[in-house]
Amino acid sequence: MAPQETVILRMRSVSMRYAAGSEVLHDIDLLLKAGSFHFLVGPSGAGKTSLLRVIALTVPVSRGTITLFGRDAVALGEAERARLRRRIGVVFQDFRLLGHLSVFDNVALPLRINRVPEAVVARRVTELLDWIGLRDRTRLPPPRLSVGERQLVTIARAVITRPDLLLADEPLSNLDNRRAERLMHLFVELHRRGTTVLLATHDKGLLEHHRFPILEMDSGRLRSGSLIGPLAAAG
Amino acid sequence: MTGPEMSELELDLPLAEQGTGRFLQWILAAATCLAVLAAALAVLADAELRRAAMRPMVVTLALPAGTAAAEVEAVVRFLGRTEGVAFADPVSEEELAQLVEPWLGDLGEESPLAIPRLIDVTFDPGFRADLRELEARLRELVPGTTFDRTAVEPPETGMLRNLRLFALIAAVAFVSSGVVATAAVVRAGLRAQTDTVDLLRLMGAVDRYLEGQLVDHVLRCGLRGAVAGFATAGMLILAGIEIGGRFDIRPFDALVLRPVDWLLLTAVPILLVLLATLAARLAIDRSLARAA
Repeated sequence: MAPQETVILRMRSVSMRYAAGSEVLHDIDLLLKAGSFHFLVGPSGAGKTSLLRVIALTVPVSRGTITLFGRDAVALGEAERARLRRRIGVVFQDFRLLGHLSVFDNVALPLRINRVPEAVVARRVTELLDWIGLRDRTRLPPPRLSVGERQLVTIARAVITRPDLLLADEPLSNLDNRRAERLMHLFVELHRRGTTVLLATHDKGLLEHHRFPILEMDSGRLRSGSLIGPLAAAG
Repeated sequence: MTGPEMSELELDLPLAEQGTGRFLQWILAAATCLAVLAAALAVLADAELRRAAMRPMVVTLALPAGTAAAEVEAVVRFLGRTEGVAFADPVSEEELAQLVEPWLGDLGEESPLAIPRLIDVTFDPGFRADLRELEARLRELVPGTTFDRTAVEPPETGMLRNLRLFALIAAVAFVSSGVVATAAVVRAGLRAQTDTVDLLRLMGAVDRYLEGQLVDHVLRCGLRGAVAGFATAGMLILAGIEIGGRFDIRPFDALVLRPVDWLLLTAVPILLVLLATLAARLAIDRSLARAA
């Protein structure tokens, strides 16, 4: 890994507004080191989803600078932005699965976009669906799955490429305890293998159970210091 | 079954499921069918024109009244030596009298009317003489000699030319409407799939990837539509030729399409598919650039 990539993400004084609306993010300063795991917490409307969208390069910032994987992410061309996006896995709160494709094809999508050979796609997707317990659902379209199963497919799609950075927006909110715990293990395992994880959640039990640094947002701002919870308290 | 088998024909964008996408191949089938029918009409008219051009041209030469028999003989001899002239037959006085009898009555032995001497000139098949020049040379032999030019081109020829032009314009219009409809359908399809396009971009898809999928979709719809449209048009043409052959359909003497004509007609669907694909590519480029 190149030296500058020990820092995966650096945001300085980043503000963002949707179209002509008012600012939803104000002067965000954030630094994520490679291989770190952070929870992102805050009340509804605090700007967690907007922050994840900015980091995923889906919305432009109105002010500030973002350095992602060592590149100035604000001034990227289409090809370079696409290259960076392929290193990011995103779990959406609203799933955003393609209803005309099967579960298998939804999960395979990021690999195919990366032009991974079809034999490798088949093996990896089958393995992952097997692991998360959706082996018997591979041919079904997402609308025929339960909400929890759709959540699993969304997560599988986000992690299938073993991304360098995983952004997850309330990824465990629709799952039963057993599945949520299993998925959390998946995130932790990815983190152990070097993936940087930023996970937005409301689940206090999750925060208490897993001792990772917590970033707290409120009214579009990251609280000063940005580290709260068990680790901060321990430090 | 998992893996490639179940995935090869799936598009990331649900174009085939959209109403517009579903109808694209039928729009292209209709455009192909109509364009091929129009092109077939143009080819038939052209074939008829070529047949007409190959028929021997027969014109009547009029020598002034009172031309001496020796001068008539000299003109016939001159025409016999002229390139492209197959026959030069003077119309006998008896025959001429019969020709004018319905209008002038029996001229009898001593008619006060001055009747010109006529010579039927038949040219070789396919030979088109410069009548103006020939007339000038004949006037050097017998001043006042004229050709009856109205007989050179039958009225059907003009009708066939107009028919050919109209059919060609119609074929071009049908091809153009298929191309324009394709661009409109693709634009509408992309507009309806903004969220999916955003999602694919978020996963790192470049516009070329999306464009490739969409063009592939249009090409497949185009080929299916073109085959269906051409097959339908072909059957209609064959039925038309079969039925038309039993009747006298003016201005056609014969309704025949040669193998080379059929080959020419196959160019219509191929051209339509190529142009539709090109139009789709341009429409996609613009739409994606606007959505970026």
